[in-house]
Amino acid sequence: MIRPVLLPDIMQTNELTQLQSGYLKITRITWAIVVMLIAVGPTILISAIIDFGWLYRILTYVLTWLLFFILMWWYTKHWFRVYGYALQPTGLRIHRGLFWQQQHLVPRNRVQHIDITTGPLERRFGLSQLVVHTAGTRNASVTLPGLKHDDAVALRKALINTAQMDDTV
Amino acid sequence: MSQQELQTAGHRLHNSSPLFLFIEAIKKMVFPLLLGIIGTSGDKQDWIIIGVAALASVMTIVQFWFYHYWLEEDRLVVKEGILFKSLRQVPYERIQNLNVEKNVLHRLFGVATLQVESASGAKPEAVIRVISQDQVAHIQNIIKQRAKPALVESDVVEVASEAVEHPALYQMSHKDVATYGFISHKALVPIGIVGSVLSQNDYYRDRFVGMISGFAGDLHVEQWAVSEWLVYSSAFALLMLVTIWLSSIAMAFLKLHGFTLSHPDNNLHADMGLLTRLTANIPVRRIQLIKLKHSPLHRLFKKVSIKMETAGGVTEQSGITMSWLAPLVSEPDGFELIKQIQPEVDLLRTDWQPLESRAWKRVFKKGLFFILLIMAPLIYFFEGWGLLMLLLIPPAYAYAQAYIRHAAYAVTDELIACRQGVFFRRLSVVRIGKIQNVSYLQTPFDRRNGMARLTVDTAGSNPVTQDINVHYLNQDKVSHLVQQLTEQVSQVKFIW
Repeated sequence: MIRPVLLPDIMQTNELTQLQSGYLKITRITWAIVVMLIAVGPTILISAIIDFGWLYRILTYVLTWLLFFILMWWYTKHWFRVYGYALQPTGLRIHRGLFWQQQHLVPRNRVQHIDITTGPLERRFGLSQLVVHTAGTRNASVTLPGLKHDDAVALRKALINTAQMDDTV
Repeated sequence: MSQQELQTAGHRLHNSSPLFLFIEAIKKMVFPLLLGIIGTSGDKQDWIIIGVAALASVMTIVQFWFYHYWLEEDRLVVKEGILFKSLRQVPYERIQNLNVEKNVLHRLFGVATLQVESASGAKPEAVIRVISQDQVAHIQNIIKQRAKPALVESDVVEVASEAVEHPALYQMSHKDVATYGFISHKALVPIGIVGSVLSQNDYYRDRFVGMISGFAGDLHVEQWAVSEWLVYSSAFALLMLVTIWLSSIAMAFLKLHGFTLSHPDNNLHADMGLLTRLTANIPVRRIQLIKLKHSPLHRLFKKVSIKMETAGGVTEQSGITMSWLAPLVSEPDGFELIKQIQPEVDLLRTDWQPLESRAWKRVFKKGLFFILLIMAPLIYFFEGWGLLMLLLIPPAYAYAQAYIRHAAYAVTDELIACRQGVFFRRLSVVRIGKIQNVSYLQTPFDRRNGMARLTVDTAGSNPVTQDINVHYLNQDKVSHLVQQLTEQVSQVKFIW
């Protein structure tokens, strides 16, 4: 029954591999845009309390944006540090979350199919996202962003178990 | 599939089929519309909507002439559609559930509705509405014969395969059905809906009041003293309660009358219903998860309810569902039943592990937090009286202790199981082979206490309430368990 799965040596490790640093940049760009929306709220609130001219309102907006963005900058730095994955002989392990930490383990022989998606921003940085689907319900698909496209393809190749003929449902 | 030629036509539906298609269309489209109108206006424009719906339902009948199905060597093929044609091929070995429905009208025509379910999606793979009962038996037979798994099932003991008549594993007596109806309170929601709709509608409310006063004379509500209010309202509450109980029991009989579960050739075969007979067939290896539940009322009768989950998300709305193993059974008998169905799942001899004993503090703190949360506005509005909420602290303490005492988990070579709940308790079991992925979750509060949560995902489990979900465990233990389970899962290549 127990058959060791043969894998390319470079791929087998228990150590966590960090995501590509380009992904941190992408996340921060996304946050910069999101924060533009978030900053509207406090600006309106402050302008309603204190009655001052347009210039100061714009200044308030820029300052709140900056404040939130610096917070996000700090948060994403640590968030990115703990985000990682490892390809183990048994399957794929993904670590993520700074405050609410999660580890997902997808056994190799439970993988149904794998997608590789690339968004416009990701394309600029030459990155791809790996989406691993299992027959589960809540965690039916596990995403792993911030991979070099070649790495994503290699991971997909290593995870898809072509030797398995039976279905797991 | 036959190599030489592709079939493009096969069996047609039974001649009485349009009638059943029409009834189904009415149930799905016209009836909900009518219900909406009773509650609201009843103006003329509503009839236009009903007309459109009726026309649409007539259109569904036309599909009868375009529905073909046939049985090939290894698959069931269904061809349907008028403008947009579809050809659906379902390999026999991928079929998860095979449900047959027969109500009074079906029996009159000697036909039945057959529903085939695979592991995919929220809709049944094929609903054959309706075909003759001989044909149903024929299809059932063929699917049973040809749906042989590719590998030998060494771990499943084939006891019943020789016997002609398969003895029932579990049967429900009338008393059981009545007790189940009483426990389940299934009629509570429909009666509540009807009540609230009627009370919103002035016309019906007046008629109801008129009927009551015609029945009991003028009650002179405005002259009532407190004692009269007390007597009348408790009488009304009792009346409602009895109504709900009686109708729940009636509903239970309609649904579960004569529930029989048998176990021929690695299939589960269930039979139930009073007016509408439902026959369900599920290969044992397709069971993803088994759940035992008991409420305080269950415990009053010393019984539990056992359900199973199969892959595929067909719900009551989208098709015929059957997920009972035993609607009402005593706990030891239930364990024995599960063991007979899946010999490796032996819950009587499972080595249950407790949670961290210090975790009661966390449950207690959570309780205290909620008490404070509710108390704050109460104190604001009622001042000192709000402090009465503090009386809830001892029950919260007792709850926290009970929570940790009742919760437990077990991981063996064959299965993972967990027990949860204080008032509404449940026990869930998943065989290792059915685990799809494993997660380790830790909140900041968990981290402060060095704890974590273990969850296991299976096919067909409810995405809202993750059933295998062990919280308040030592984080090292969870890390270890996660690794161990993944290893176990990746070694179980052939899960049946």
